[in-house]
Amino acid sequence: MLESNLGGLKLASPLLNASGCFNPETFDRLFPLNEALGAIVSKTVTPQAQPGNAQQRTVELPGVGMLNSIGLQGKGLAHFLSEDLPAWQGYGLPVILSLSAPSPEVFAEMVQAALSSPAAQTIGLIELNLSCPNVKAGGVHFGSSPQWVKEVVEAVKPVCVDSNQNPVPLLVKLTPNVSDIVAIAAAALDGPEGQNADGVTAINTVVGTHIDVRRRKLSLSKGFGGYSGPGIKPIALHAVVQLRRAFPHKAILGVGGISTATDVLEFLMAGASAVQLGTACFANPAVFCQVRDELTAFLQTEGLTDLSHLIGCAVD
Amino acid sequence: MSLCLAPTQPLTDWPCTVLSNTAAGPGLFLLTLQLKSPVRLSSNRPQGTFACQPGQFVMLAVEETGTWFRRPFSLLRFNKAAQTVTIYYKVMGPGTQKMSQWQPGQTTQLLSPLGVGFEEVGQPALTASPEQTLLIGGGIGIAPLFFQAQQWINESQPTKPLCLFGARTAAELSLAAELDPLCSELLLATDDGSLGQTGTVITLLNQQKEALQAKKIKRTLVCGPNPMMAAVVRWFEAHLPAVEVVVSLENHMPCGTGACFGCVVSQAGDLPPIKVCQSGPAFVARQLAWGETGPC
Repeated sequence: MLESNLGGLKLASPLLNASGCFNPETFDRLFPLNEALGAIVSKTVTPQAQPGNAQQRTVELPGVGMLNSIGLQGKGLAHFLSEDLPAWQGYGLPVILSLSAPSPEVFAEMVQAALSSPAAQTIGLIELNLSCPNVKAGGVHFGSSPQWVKEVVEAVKPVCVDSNQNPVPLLVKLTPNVSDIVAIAAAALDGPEGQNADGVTAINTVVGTHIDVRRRKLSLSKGFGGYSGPGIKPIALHAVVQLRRAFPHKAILGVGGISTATDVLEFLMAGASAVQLGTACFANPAVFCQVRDELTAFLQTEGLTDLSHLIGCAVD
Repeated sequence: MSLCLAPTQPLTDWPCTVLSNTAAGPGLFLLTLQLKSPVRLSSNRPQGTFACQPGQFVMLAVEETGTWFRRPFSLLRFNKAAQTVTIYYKVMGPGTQKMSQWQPGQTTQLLSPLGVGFEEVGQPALTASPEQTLLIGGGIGIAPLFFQAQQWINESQPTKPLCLFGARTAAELSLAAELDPLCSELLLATDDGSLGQTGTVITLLNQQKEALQAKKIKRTLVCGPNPMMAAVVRWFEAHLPAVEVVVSLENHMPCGTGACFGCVVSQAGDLPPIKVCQSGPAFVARQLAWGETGPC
């Protein structure tokens, strides 16, 4: 009843975790993941291991969300492909591989390595996290420039194929920290066939900061971080509406402050085919199961047999 | 001692109701929660039984709905027959401030068990009997050590541990009377001399150095403020380096589930920061990088 199609990837549920907000090993102890989620989104994987930022890395913003500047701490692509991905096969869900790299060439190399690895068949979709520095451009984020987004997508899309040469869908995760998110999306989506992304994930965190008035200092070691949680929901929802209007035939994966079934319905009606929940599962680890049940109940009450009539209905 | 816990230990979000929430000193509270039957999230998983080992922790919701992070707590007590848990907490910020207002009947949620217990870290701990284990608690850090001492009693262990318990004032040692029968000896210290030895647990360690050697202490479990733990780690390095020092950290944890990397602590050597919520909160002290005032 809750099936959806995300750029060609068939999902049993439109509910996904947001990258970096979910540990499948722990949540699998709480409920079988494939009873509520449609896919597992990896924490963003970097080419090499990286230690992340110094503490303090997070600030709680009670009621509205949090700030984080973790710095993509992780063990790198080789470790992910040899250790995590094979272990995740047991969850019975496709994996959405979130990637970050310093250049279009490295992005493409990572995708090729991932899709030719022993557990590659688990990878259902690639999500590019472009909120990472473009080393050749002095460290400014890829996601802030239409030209750089285009260069990354053109490098990556041709290698998004599995071992049988079937296409693996490609989504670009958009940052809201730009003046025109539609222009950035166009750079990812409007290229010639075979060189454009299948859709977008909207949105990444909103840049923000916080001051510790007792210490009279910026709270986060890096000085700023990504704002997530219910406070950014209207921003994310607006982005999805804009993107649906501009690209009615492209996949949209909605994310940003979603914590209830009503929130999910809003994003679906705005045009998202699936959604990601992140900060919400910190406060409520059972949120995926609760939202699944509430969505099912909504469809039954409305006399609907699937989600298809809801997606984009408020915008189209 | 009980068996080590497999990493696949079931996790349960327990609905619970406040039975009592009583003041236990300046800014200190004892919160007793009645566990209720959990909502079954899947028919394919067995109904969980409450099982949280000393050193592990729970994530407690401070608001029934909304986006407050849950707060990590060690347990002070678990009454299996009554299905109640008791948490000993200090008002430190807005979350614990909210908790301090809770009245009997208040409902909340408690995710358990998380992290690894004392028995799962370090050298095979089974070789250290309670009498060869020294407990060192500072302030509310006494909670997991109290729980451990009680667990040994529940297991009918033939011996009890020596315990050092320090705080700023006598008013912060209100648990001493209940802790005393769980220990072979309980030695107290206060900064102001209002109860026990004037000084800190380091003062007590200096006095007990020969006794610790005579007792063939192999292991010490330490929980308290970071500067205290750093001082204890330095003391053992200088005086009794063969004793395995296990510290229980109290870092802020946004998720408590190993997802967010918000609670990490630096490791010794050239190793990356490690998640307190998943690899800890109990660690062998030598695994961590220490500064003057605590783990880096």
